Amino acid sequence: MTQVILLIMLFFWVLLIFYSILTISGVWYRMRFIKPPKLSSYPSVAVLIPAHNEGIVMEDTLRAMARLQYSGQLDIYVLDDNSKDDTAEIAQEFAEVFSRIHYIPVPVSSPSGKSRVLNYGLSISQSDYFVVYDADNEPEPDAVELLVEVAERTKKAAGAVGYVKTKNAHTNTLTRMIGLEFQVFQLLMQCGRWQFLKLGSLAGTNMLLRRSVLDELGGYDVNALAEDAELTVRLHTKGYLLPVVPESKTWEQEPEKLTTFIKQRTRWLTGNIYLLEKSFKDLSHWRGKTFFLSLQHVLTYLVFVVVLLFSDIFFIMSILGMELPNMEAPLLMLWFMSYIVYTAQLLSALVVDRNVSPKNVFFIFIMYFTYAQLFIILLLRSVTVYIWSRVRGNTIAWDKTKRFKGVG
Amino acid sequence: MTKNFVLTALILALLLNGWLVAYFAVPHYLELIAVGLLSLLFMSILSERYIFLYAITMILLYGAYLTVTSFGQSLPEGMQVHYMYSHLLFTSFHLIFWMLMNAVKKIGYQNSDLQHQVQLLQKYRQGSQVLTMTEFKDQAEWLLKSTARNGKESYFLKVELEYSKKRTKQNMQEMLEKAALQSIRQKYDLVSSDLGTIYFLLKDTHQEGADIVMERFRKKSQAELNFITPPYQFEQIHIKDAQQLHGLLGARS
Repeated sequence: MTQVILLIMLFFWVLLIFYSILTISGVWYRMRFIKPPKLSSYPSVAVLIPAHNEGIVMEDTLRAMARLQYSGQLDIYVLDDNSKDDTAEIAQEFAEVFSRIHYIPVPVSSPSGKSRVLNYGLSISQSDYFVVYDADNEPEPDAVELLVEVAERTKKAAGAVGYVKTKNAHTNTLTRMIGLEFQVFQLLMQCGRWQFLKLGSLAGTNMLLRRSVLDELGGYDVNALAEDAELTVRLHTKGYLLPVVPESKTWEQEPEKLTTFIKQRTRWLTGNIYLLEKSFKDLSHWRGKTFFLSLQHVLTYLVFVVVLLFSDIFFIMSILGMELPNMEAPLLMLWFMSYIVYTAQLLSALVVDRNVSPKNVFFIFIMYFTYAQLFIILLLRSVTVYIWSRVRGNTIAWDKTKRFKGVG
Repeated sequence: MTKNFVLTALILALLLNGWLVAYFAVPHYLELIAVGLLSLLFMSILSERYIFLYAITMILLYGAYLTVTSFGQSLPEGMQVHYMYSHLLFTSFHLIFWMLMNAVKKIGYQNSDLQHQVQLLQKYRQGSQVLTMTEFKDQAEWLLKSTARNGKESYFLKVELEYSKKRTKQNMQEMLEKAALQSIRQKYDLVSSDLGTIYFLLKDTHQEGADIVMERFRKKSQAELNFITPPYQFEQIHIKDAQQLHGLLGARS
């Protein structure tokens, strides 16, 4: 038993070093990033917005889309997936006024979800590149152009990924913590992985892809709940690159209620467990650069959760005055360093994003004990949902995240 | 006032932090003080955007070092707690100094920015009635537009000093600037200067008018200087618009 725990501790140590290196690399990349020079000609781009009952946010989204500035041909497609609210009405109104905005009703079929809608969007549009935006996204005017410029100037690039910022970060404690998490894991870690390993990962929104690359890969996997993560692995297996463009920004709404948050993250985590299973079955996931993506998946969704569980158990045991197992490992120091690395990542993200404030600093000091611990509950829930659906032979239904009105 | 308070508080916090390290003699405190002093030096030299990167790298490296040491020496819990204190003091020291550097460099940048703004707002070169280059260009735009609308002509004269002796060059330039101001029509034509060059912009005139101004300038300067051949080169250009003028002012603008 002691040796098993020791092995896990060593894994934990590797994870700490890995994340420390990513943090430093991420800060380095962000500080040195300069906007790319203009292109002599710009390829055509289709913006795909999958929408299912998005009436509450659609107006703001399309207002931002209409403000997009792009030096080439740009077409925006609202892919209405059987909405029952006023999504169609709003999108059609914009489509009547603006020549580049198109309203497309998507035929009903199975399985439901974003991947199927995106595949349909690709089948009805024509362009060199396409960009995906979630229906609650408000990209900054230069977001698409920056992605294209970087993708065109990076050899072997399948596209490019931008930065997703939280629009409603100041609404409550939960949204503030999500915003801080996004700053770290969506951007600082992305930049770090790109700088250190030349690995980028699709974020599901504000992501540009070359249409020919997706055709080569056979489109989106309609069974994948985390279609972005799944596609990222396939792209890297084929040797493509996904450069990270921190200056290309979109603003997104995050869940304001814990129940909505748990539902959304359960879907993400279930999608990642699906991917984990796929990586164990398919050996191509362990070749070349994809090795690091798969390794990170295993470390995060398998090893990390076990370590976190042990860490919590030991913490509770020590509070209750119980004797800890006699091991040749400095548990206290490891626990302390995991707190330091986690907090250092958050602080670094605040600094490079220039939003250091006393309130944000206070939150980053308590997030390890609060927000980070939610991960265990979420992962246990996701694993249960996943195993249960596998046992019963069901396909897990894709459910969209609930939107909220009046943010920004 | 707030800035003074913040700076004072940060300096005091830094001193207190250093004192705590020495007073409690935390593990590796001598090395800690040595690294801290080196960090003070490096962080003062580094560009503002790399200071935080340096601080966070040091914090993580020191943490890695302590963890490896803990592993290697199988430290008891009590000692690990001391290591944690040591790391916390090291971290706070670097973060406080980063904040201090941030505040100081911010004030420095604001100062340079203000100096730049003042330069832009200055009408005349220090101690003379010669226009600054920014003001010359601004006034030239108005002047050239009005000349063009009235169907008249403007001339640009450039006097370039060909005198290399450093000791007297400054005085010679000042004398020539004075001569230039005395040669033009007051409150009508413009004069500016840059290192070793004097510029004239003559409004509503013609070739002969420009020649007269130049001749006047030559006579006035000759009266003051002991040179048979004037120590400057002279250029006269018929100017049509502001763009042409900007081109002629070239890299100096």
